[in-house]
Amino acid sequence: MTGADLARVVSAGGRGYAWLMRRIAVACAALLAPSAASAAELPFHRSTLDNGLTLIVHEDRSVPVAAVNLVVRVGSRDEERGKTGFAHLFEHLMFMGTRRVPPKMFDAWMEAAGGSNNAWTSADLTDYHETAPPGALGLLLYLEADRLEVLGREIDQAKLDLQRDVVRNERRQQIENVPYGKVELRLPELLYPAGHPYHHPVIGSHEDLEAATVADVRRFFATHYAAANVSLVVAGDVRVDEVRAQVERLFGRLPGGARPARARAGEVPRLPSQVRETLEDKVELAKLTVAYHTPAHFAPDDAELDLFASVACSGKASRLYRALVVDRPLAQSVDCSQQSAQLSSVFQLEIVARAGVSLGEVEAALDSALRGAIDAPPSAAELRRARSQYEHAFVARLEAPAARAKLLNLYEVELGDPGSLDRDLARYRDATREGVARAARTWLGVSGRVVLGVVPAKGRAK
Amino acid sequence: MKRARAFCKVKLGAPLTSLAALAACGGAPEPILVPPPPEPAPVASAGVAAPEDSLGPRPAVPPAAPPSVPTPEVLDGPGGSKIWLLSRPGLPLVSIAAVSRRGASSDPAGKVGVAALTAEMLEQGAGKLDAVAFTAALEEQGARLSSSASRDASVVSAHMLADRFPKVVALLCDAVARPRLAQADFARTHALFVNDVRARGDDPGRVAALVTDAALFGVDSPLGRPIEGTVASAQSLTRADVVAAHRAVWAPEQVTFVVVGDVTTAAVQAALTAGLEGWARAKASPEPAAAAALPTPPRVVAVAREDAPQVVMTVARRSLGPRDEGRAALELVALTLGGSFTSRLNQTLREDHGWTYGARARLAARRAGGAFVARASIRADALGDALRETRRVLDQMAEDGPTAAEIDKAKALSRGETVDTLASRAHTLSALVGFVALDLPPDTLGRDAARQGGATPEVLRALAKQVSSAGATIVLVGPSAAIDAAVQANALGAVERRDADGRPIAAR
Repeated sequence: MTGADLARVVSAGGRGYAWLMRRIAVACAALLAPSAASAAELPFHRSTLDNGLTLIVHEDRSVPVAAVNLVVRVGSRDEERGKTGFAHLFEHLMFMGTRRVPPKMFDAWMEAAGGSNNAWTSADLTDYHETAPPGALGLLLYLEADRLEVLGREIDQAKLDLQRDVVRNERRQQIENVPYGKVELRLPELLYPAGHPYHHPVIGSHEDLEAATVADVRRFFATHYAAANVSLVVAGDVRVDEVRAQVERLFGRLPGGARPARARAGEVPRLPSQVRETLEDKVELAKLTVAYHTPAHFAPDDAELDLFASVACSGKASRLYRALVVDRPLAQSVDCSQQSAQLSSVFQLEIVARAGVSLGEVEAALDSALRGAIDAPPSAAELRRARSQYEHAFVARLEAPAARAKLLNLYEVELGDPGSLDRDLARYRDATREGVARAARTWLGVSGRVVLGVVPAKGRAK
Repeated sequence: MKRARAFCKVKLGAPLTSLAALAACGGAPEPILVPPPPEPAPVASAGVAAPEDSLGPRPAVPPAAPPSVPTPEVLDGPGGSKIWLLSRPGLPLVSIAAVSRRGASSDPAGKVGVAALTAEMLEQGAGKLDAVAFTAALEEQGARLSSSASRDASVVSAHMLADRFPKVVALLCDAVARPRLAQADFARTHALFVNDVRARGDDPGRVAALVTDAALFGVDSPLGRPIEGTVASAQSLTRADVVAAHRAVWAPEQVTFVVVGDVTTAAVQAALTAGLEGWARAKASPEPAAAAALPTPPRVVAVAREDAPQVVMTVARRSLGPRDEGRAALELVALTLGGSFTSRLNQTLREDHGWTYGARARLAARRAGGAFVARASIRADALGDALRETRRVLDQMAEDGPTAAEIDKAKALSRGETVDTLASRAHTLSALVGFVALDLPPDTLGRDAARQGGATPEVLRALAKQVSSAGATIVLVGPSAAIDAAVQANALGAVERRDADGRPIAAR
């Protein structure tokens, strides 16, 4: 444990939930009083094993639950050419068992103990998470340690074939067989040039998934699933000393090594001009998606763009909703958001047109309203409302141990510091009207953007 | 703050089995329909580790203690309403819902969809505030109000930081008791509502759920018709209909306020009393008439969605209602079949054969009777095989009931779901709102936990008969050619074709 880590340790064995709640209550009070210095912090112990694995422990005995959150610093952006969808496919393979934990037993043993699990993969990360009664924590850690140690080496063709089928079904169910699902596949290809880490969708193509081999799986595991590339959070009704001893024993033998090199956030990509495309889908109502390149998660202007999205599109009082739904009968729904990611982000607007309204009409009205929102900075009341929404959201996500575990790991892998709650809060608390307006002007007041329309397939147009 | 798109091992979704369950990826029992697994790692005993294994033996897991389940305090509220309060000091969060036990099944004849449209209108301004000002006032408090109608209830809910409680409750009370229902707001909301009904058929999952209800309970019955109605019925609704529906739905005697969070009894009573001052005491409107004899459900229903890559396959049958003896225990059977990753259906259709991304089964609760529903999106060319296997899995469960290991696992998972429900104020609120809507008592969460914990193998084996595929209705949404081939391969007889509103095509 480093000196900085020690300085940040604010929990100790035996302290209970009431103490924790006082800390969080202090944080909230500070948040609601912007002039006060905030002391927001989720208490945790952080340490690093000799092999480089990061361990973060957060005690909270109020609920009889143990939560494990394990992040591997690999996502679809790390995939090689022709191997799209591989990071996510690999996430599925991580549940396929080993000699020590035979096929199907990972889930069977966990569920027999009253536990449950899931995992997700994004362009940047792969996150495995579990919850169970506190008495099952040893089992959860054992299962994680086992697959981190040997799963890649023990994968075989049958396991790969099965999960490849499952993932292709996931693509069909989550994207191909839902209204407007094609947008998700096409948008990254239009936003980023070929060869950019974010050029392809996380789910990958059927062709690349079909082409994946066992050798690819083993190489991927050896490259990315190294201890130094893993951050493990244990939260809930647990004891720091016991967790550290367990983790040291189970994970300490994993080989060390350097963390694999990854692309770093650099200049935000710029589109030299507008990129336009229109797709057909089996839908009744047309939809317009407009996307702009914006700064990375936690970079300057990222929070300001979150707040701008709230001012522009959140709720019936928002600028664009009023312009496109309340004042003129053009849109069925209006949504926009800053889609934050590690290398750079995307500000995405999604407008579903009303029946009989063309996408041209929607786009013209959207551009006019967006220009107005950019030119006229948010009022003090608008910014206060947006900030209030974020204040509530921050506190709400501190409720369950699993959510806290996820948050601590997010701060660790993205900022290198699990104790970044206050820093994160401050981005919203300290944002100004001028700052929000400047961010919107800088990133959304440009001609380079993607305009992607979806219209009803022929024979269905209204 | 919204993060870029991610993909999961398992799709997250609605509650699976328990009335109160909110964890989408619960868990369940060890499957028995798969080949026996290889010899597992030894379980730790007496602290002796197998020397050849660097990880040592698989850790033993002690039995988890039953969760301590609090029961809400029940109080009298303004105008003859009731209050259920679960006061939970700590994190400064409060959630509140106003629940009327009148929903879409109470829509008057010829006014189908009016409860759903009225729910939309409660977000369009109230008291002295128009739609925009009303939303702005809520956002000022960091809160958002949500209003919806289900078949059994209408619900207006809000979540907030504790110190904002009085102001947010005042706005919620305005929405419930004094909505503006202005003509301009009605015109806009009505148009959006009709468009939403028009676009409903684009989503195969939504179509599958809607058509299953219609097939099981009758497309024109209050239990089976679409909650929002059809495009034609939605278009016919007027502002006067909404005004009348608001009066009928939000009569105080049929309303319960559910509150969970860091708030005191006195604060709740004070806020509601102030917010509902002048709320005229009105008797509950009549319960919807009991359903006449329900129609005999069809065997196979098909909804064409040509060129789709998958078929949404549903096998469903009418089942126990929320107050029926055995309902809580039957939820354990449903959990064993499709309530967790290791459930029999998910293991068979996904993990053994790779035909789907996931299969689920659950008891769908409604006041006038429930339904057992098993559903999966199946690759179109595998539908025949998947249908055969699904029926085999259901029939084996009906024949033998769950194994002892499955029962233990279902109970452990159900306990976990209860803990998850209690870990979040919003989840607890959602569970309690469900109990109000279903006319269940406030201690249902604890009662169900006790009933499930005490369910015996004999009881579960007897209840499992109710999940047999014999007599079940099969609803298939996808390409006609794939559906026809699968039905023929399974010798299921004639297919009744319906549209995306659940109405038989031949009858139009």
